[in-house]
Amino acid sequence: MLSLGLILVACIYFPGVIVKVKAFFSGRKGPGVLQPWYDIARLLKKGSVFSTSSSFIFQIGAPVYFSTVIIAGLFVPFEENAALFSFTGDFVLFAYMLGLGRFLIILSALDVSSGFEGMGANREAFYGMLIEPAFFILLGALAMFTGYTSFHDIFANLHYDNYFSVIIAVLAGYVLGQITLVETSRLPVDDPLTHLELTMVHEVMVLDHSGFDLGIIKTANNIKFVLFSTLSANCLIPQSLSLGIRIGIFLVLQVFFAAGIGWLESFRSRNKMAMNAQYILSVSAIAMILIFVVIIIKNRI
Amino acid sequence: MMIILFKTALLLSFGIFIVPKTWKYSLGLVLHIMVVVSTGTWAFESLVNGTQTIALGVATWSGPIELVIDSLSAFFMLIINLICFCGILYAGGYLKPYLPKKRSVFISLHLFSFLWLHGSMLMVTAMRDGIAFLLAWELMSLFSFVLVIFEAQKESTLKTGINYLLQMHLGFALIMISFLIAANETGGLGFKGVAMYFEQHRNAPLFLLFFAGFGIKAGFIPFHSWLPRAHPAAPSHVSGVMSGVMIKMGIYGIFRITSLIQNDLTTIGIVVLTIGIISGMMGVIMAIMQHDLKKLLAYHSIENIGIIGIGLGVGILGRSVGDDYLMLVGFAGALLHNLNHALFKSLLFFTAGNVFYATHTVNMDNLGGLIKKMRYTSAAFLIGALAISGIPPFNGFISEFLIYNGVLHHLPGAGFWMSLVGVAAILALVLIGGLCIYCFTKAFGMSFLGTRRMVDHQEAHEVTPMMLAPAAIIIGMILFIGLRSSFFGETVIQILQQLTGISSPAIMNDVVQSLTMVSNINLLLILLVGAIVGIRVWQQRQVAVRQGPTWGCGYTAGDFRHQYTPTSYAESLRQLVNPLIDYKRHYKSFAEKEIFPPPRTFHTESKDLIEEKTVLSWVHLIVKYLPKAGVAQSGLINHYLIYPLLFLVIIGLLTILNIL
Amino acid sequence: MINFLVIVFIISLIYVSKVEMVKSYFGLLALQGVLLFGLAYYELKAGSVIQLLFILMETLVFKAFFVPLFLRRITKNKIHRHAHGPVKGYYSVLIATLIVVMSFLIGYFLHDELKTNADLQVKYFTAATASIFVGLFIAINNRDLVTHLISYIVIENGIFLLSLALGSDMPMFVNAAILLDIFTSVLVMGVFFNRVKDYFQNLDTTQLSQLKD
Repeated sequence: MLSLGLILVACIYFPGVIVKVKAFFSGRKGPGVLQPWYDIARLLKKGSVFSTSSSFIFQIGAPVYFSTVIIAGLFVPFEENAALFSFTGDFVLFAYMLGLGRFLIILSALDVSSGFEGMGANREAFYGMLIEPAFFILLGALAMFTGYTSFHDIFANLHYDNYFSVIIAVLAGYVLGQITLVETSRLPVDDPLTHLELTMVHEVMVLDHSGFDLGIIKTANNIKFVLFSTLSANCLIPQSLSLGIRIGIFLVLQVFFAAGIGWLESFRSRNKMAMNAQYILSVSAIAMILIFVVIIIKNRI
Repeated sequence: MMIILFKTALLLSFGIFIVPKTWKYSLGLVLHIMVVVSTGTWAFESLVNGTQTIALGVATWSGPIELVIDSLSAFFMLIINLICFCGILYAGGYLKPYLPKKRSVFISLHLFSFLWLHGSMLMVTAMRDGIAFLLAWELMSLFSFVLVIFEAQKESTLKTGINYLLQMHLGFALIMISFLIAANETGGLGFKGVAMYFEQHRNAPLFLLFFAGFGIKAGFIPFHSWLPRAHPAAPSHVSGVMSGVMIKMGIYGIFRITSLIQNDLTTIGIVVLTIGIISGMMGVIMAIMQHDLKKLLAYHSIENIGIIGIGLGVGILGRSVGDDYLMLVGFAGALLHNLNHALFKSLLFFTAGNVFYATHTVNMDNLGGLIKKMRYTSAAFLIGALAISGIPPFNGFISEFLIYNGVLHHLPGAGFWMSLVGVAAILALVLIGGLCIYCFTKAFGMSFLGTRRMVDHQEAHEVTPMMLAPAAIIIGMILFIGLRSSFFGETVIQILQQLTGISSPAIMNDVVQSLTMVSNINLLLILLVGAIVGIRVWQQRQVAVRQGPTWGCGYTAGDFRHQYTPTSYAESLRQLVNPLIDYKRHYKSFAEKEIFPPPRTFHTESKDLIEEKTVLSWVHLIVKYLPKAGVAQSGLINHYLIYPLLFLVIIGLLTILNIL
Repeated sequence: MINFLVIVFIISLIYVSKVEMVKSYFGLLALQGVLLFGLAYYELKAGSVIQLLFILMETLVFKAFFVPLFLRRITKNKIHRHAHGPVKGYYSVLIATLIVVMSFLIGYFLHDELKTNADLQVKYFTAATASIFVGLFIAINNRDLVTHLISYIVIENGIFLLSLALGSDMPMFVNAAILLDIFTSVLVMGVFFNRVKDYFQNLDTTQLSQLKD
C-alpha cells in the first residue's frame, strides 16, 4: 500500500512540474503546479460531443483505457514494500494490461472514420509494438540477475552490494526512462504540444474525445507517467538507507525526473517521423546489450 | 452403451442421402449430438478415472481396432467435440441461402462429410495402432477436401481444393514412411513401434520426418502453403472447424511423438523452436498485409501454431537440460494454447462468416461501419480479436503467460546457450503479441468501424440468432477460461504429468497460485470497467451531450474516402518488413504537365516469399522445362513405332556387351 | 569502473549507427574520447608518467576535443548538415545490434584462449571487435564523405581498445601509429575541404570519380 500512496502523491505534482519547467525555460512564469488537475476537474464536469459515425466502442474505449492503467498501477512496488498484487510473472500481466488499454484507444480512434485519427492509430500501434521488446528484455535481464520473476522480488533483491549490480541498476534506470518517454508519447517521439495533426501520434488519437472521456484519458496518461518513473526510481534508489530517507529521495527524484523531462522538451526537437522507428529500436538494442552483459556476468562468476 | 451410440451415429449418417432436403440438416445435427455425447462421456471418464480402452468391433489385417483414450486424447476429443458442435450449429444458419441453389446430393455429401470429419478426427486422437491411425488420418483428409470444395462451381475453389488434397497426401505419405521406418526396425507398426525405435536409434532424423508430415497438417512454415488458400475458399463453418481443430491434429501427432523421444533432445528442441519462431513471426507479418479478411485469419492460424511450436520447443529444451519447471510449464502453455486457439479462431471465422452472409464480401477495402447494424457480430469479433492478441481478461493471455513463466523461471540458472534460447523465445513472443495487436486493430477497425468504404445501396443486417448462438457458447467458454484459469492450468499440468511421467506438486502449486491471481485480477478489471462505465453514464445524464460530424479540420465535404484504408494502416509496418514480403504497388503517378488526369486505379499486392522460394519456384521450373519433353508426342503412329524399336536395339547392344 | 566505461562505450556505438545529422556525431565522438581516456587511465595508472601523459594528450585532447572541433569547423557549410543517412531507413540500428551481439558471442567463445590475465582482456576485445565492425558498417552504409571520416575514427577507437587489451606491452608504439593515422586523415580531409571543395559541388562518394584532375 505504501507504493500506491507514493504514486498518488507523486501524481499530484508530476505533470505540474513539467509544465512549470517548460515555462521557466521559455521565459514565462507558467501556471501553478496543480493547474493540470484543475483542468482535468473542469473536463470531468463538461458535456460531450460524439461523432455521428461512432459506436459503442467509442463509449467504452476511454473507460477501459483508464481502468487498465489503474490496475497496472496496483502492480508497482516500492523496493521491498510489495504492491497490492505480486506473483511470479506479474510484469507480463502489467505489460499486457497496458496493451489492452492501447488496443481499445486505437479502436475508438478508428471508430470516428477520420483520416487524422487513423494516422495516430497506426503509429501508436507500430510504436507500441517496437517498445514492448525493450520492456520485456530489460525485465528479463533483471530477472536473470536477481533470480526472481516478479516486480516485488526483483526490486527487493536489487541491492547495491557488488559492483555489477550498480551498473545494471543504473543502466536499467536509463532504459526505463527511455521507455517512459516512448510509452507516454513525449518528445522526442511525439510532441504533446504540437497543433499539426499530421505530426501527432497520441494527441491525434484522442482528437474526437471530449468532456469526461478526455478528462479520464488525461488522468490515465499522468498516472502512466508516474508508474514508469516509479519503476525507474526503484532501480536507482539504494536500499541501504532507511525507509524515511528513501521516501524523501523518491519524492525529490520524481521532481528531478519531471524537471528533466521539461528540460528535454524545451531543448530537443521531435524526431523526423521516419526516424522514430530507429529511435525506438535503439532502446530495445540497449536492452539487448544489457541482457548480454548479465548473461556474461552469470556465466563467468 | 456409448460404443453402440457412436457406431449407430456413424452408420445412420448414410441416411443423410436418403431423407428429403429439408430434413437433412436436422438429421445431421442429431447425429452430431449423438457423437458428442458418446465420445464426450469417454473423454470425461478418461480424465477422471484413467485411460479407457474401447474395442470397436472392427479389425484390420494387423489386429482388432481399439480406441485407447488417455488424458491427452481426452483433452483433444473434448476440444473437437465443442468446436464441431458449434460448427454444425453455425452451419444451420449459414447453409440456408444455399439450400435452394444447390442440388440435393451436394448438400447431403457436404453434411455427410462434416459428420465423418468430426468422427475421423475423434478416431485419430484415439487410435494407437499404425494402420488404424493412418486410416483415420486419410479419412480426415478426404472428407475435409470434400468440405473445402463446397463451392466447386468456381474454378478457383476447385484448384485450391486439389492443391489442398495434394499437400495433405504428401503429409500422409511422410507420416506413413515414418511409421514404416520404425516398423521395419522393430516390427511393431504404430506408436509402440516408434517408442521401441526411439530407444534403440538416434531420434532426430525420424522425429524430423514425423515433424514434416504432421507439420504439413499443422501449418508450420515452410509447409504452410495450403492454409492461406484453403481457408478462404471453404465456407465459414468449415474454415472455423478446420482452423480450430483440424490443424490441431497435426499438433496432436507431434505431441505424441514428443512424449516418446529419448535422446537427441537438444537438436530436436532447437529445430522445433526455430520453426515455431519463424512461423509465428512470418505468419503475423504476412497477415498484416492482407486485404481479404479470411486470408488474414488463415495467416493468423499459422502464427498461433508458431506459438504452440515455441512452447513445444522450450519444453523439449527444458527436458534436455533437466529443468522440470520449464518442461512442464512450456508444454502446458502449448497444450492450453490448442484449446484457446480452437476457441477464438473458430469464433473469428464464424463472425467473418456473418460478415460474408450480410454483405457478400470479405474484402476489407470495401467493408466498414458494420458495427451500427451488426452489433452482436461486432462484439463477438472484438472479443475474438482481444483473445487472439493475448490480452487479459481473455484466454489467449493464459497460455502465453504460462510459456513466459516457464522461460523466465529458467533464465536465472541457465547456461550460456539456454540463456540465448530464452532471450530469443521471449523476444519472439513479445514481437508476435505486438504485431497481433497491430493486425487485429486493423482487421476489426477496417471491417466494423468507421463508415462503409464504398457506396452501398444494400443495408447490411444482423444475422439470425441461430448463427449467433455458437459465438455465444464460445464467448462463454473464453470468459470461463479467463476467469477460472487455475482450473485449466491444473488440468493441463495433470495431463502432462501423466504423459511425461514427471510429477511435481511444487510446480503445480506455483502455477495454480499465479493463475489464481491472474483470474482474480481479470475479474477486478471487468468490475472496474463496469464501475467506470457506470459513473460515466451517470455523468452524461447530468450534462449536455450531443452528436456532431467528425472533426475534419475545417473541411466540410468529407465522405468515407477520408478514412484510413487497410493498406494505409499497414504502411508503417510495411516499410520495416519490405524485404520479407516483396511488396508491389501498381499505380501510374501523374506526369509533369498533366492538367486533367484520367481516372486511375491503385493496386497493391504482397507475396508469400517463403511459398515462392520453396514451392512455386520449383513449380515454375518444371512448368517451363517439362513441355520441352513434349516433342516426343508428335501424334503420328510412325514415330511411336520407333520408340519400341529403339528400346529393342539398346537392350540388344547392352546384352551383347555384357553389361546387363 | 572499467566495466561501466566499456558498457557505455558499446552503447554509444548503437547511437553512432543511427545518427542523421552530422552535428550529433561530434558529441558521440567526444564521449568516446572521454571514455577511452578513462579506460586508459585505469589501465596504465601503474605505468610510467610519460606514457600516461602521452595517452592523456592523445585521447582527451585530440580525440575528445580537437578532432570534433576541427570537424565542426569544416562542416559549417550548409551542404553537409545531414549525414546522407543510411540507404534504407530502419536497418542500421538492427544491423548494429546484430554486430554487437556477434562480438559478445565471439568474446564468449574466445574467452578461454585469450585468458592469460584474468578476464580483463576479453572485455576490451569484445568492445574492440564491435567498434571495428560498426565503423566498417557505417562506412559501407553511408555515401557522405564526412561520415566516412567518422567511421574511420570509430575504427581507430577500436584499435586503441585492442592495444589496451594486450596489456602494457607496447602501448607507445601502437598509440604513435594511431596518432599518425588520425593526423593523416584529418590533414587530408582538411586539405580536401579547403582547397578542393570549391570545384566540387557535393560530397557524395559516388560522385568522386568527377575529381579527375
